[in-house]
Amino acid sequence: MKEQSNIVDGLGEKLSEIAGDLFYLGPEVTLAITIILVLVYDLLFKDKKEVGIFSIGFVGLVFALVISSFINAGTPFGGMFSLNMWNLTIKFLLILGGVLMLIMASRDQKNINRFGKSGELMIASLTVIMGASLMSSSTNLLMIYVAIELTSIGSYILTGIVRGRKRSEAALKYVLFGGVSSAIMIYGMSWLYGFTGTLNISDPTFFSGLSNVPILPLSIALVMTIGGFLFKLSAFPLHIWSPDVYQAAPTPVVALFSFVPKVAAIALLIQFVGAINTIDFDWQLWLGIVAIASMTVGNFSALWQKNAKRMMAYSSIAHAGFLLVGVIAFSESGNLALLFYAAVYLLMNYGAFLLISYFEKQTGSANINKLRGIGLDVPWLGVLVVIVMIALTGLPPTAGFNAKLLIFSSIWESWQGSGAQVLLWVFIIGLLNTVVALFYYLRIPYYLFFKRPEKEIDKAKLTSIDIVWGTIFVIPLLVLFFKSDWLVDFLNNINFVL
Amino acid sequence: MMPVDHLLILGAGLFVIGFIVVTTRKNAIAVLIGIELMLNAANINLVVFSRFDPDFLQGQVFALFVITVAAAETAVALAIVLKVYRHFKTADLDKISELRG
Repeated sequence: MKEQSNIVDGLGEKLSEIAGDLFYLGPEVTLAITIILVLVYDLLFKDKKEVGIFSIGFVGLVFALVISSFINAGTPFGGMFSLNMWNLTIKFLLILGGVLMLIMASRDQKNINRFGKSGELMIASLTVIMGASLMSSSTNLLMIYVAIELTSIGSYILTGIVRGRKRSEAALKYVLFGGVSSAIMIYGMSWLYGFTGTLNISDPTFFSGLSNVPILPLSIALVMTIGGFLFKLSAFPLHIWSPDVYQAAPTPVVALFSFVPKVAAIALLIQFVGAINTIDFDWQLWLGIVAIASMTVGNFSALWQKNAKRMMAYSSIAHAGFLLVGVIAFSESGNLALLFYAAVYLLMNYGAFLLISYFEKQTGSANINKLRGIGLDVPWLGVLVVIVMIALTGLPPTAGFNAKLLIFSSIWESWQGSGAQVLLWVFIIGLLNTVVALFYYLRIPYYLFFKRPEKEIDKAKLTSIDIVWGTIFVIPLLVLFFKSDWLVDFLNNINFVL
Repeated sequence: MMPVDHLLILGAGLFVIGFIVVTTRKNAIAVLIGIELMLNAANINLVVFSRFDPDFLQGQVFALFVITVAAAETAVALAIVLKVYRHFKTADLDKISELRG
């Protein structure tokens, strides 16, 4: 009897502990409540649901955004999560990515209808953001698995739910590929659990357990586990699904895919390599090879693309390589550079997809051939495209240049510190890749301004509000080039606890 | 009590069989079955290793989570297969390849 009452007492303590820790997960809890509200709204009303669904989603996301900036660092739920200022900033950026996606979706009547017809599209996008935000801070293998699956399943639904032959094909490829890579990851995780006897990667026994394992089984288990993270990052060997999915899915959804799961996976990788650093396994070599391969494969495949969205898919594979460079640098300045890169990547990628969605609205497809001469009709939009594409290449006078500069100087520093060969190779090949990128990014402005349209097609008109939104998405890229110290100082201030 | 080695070899065998099924079969449903085999290999490992865990239950709880999530994932996957079948009238992965470039 006495033992039983002890258990009950312990249970009460645990419950109050959990309730106290719930505040740390404020943004995720807000998103979960928003999802339920959208679901209920969707059930209660019959038609004209667009306004309601959009406003519930928007308010929920903004509320989550506000809450995420008030959370303190800590390790809630007995080490399930590890929150520090770095990954809280990442969390803020992820939710901001969700807000911007809704704004982008609301600029196009087609997308408004898709989101408004039923709540599923909104629910799935909120799920992706929630999963990514959990992923960016989890330090427990079980939590990592659940967060990755939450993001993945939401993404499968987002790809497949809108009607269309191509969309269903892309979704099938995505779900089969994702299923296999998550199965491989979970098998690797089961071995890590066997080696260490704990699921918590920040636990000292995790590290000491791994140190006693022979190198071959250790490498196999770690490569399998990291493979699952690389799938979410869509880095080189696990990138095959992404061009198909990007080409087929609705443009705002693609913008979400190109930022949210990727940056969350980077945050996860930073936590994970922090836990396995200095054991025999040379993760810098492996990730260095992956980064080099992603940059090269992404950039060279993008050269031959005819569809703007498919081209952006390969560009985002290349950018996954550049983000990995920041992980490999593995230093204070590398982490700072990653935050800066993530913020700028958010702006330029969303800017690019917003402009692509405008052209899609005008010409009815994202085919680069269809863009001939449109720049002369809407010159201001053409100028915005030029700015975004220069930013994606990483040239001045845009913030893309500062981001690349920061990330490459951090890897240069790390190379001088450690002298590992692979760091130097990542540095050199990364710089060379920037030159390759110039060719395909500037093809879109070239078609816009210098090619004559084949025959006159009647184009839908863009409203002036569209132009204003385009400007709002793009101008920060110029401002952050000239005043990059604003963002760097701001990030430095929050970056001090790591 | 069964020796641990046998169970681990069973797990590894299941994983390899699952992987071979995934890579060689052309039918989407068969690939899903292969994925399920791979996940069950991981489950066996987790439950076996759970025996040596000082906290005792983590691995078994993990296996339960894997089973649940796999069910959700399979539900989504089957819905997508149905959708594909409606458009292509086949579940053969070689014939479902219109997206190229």
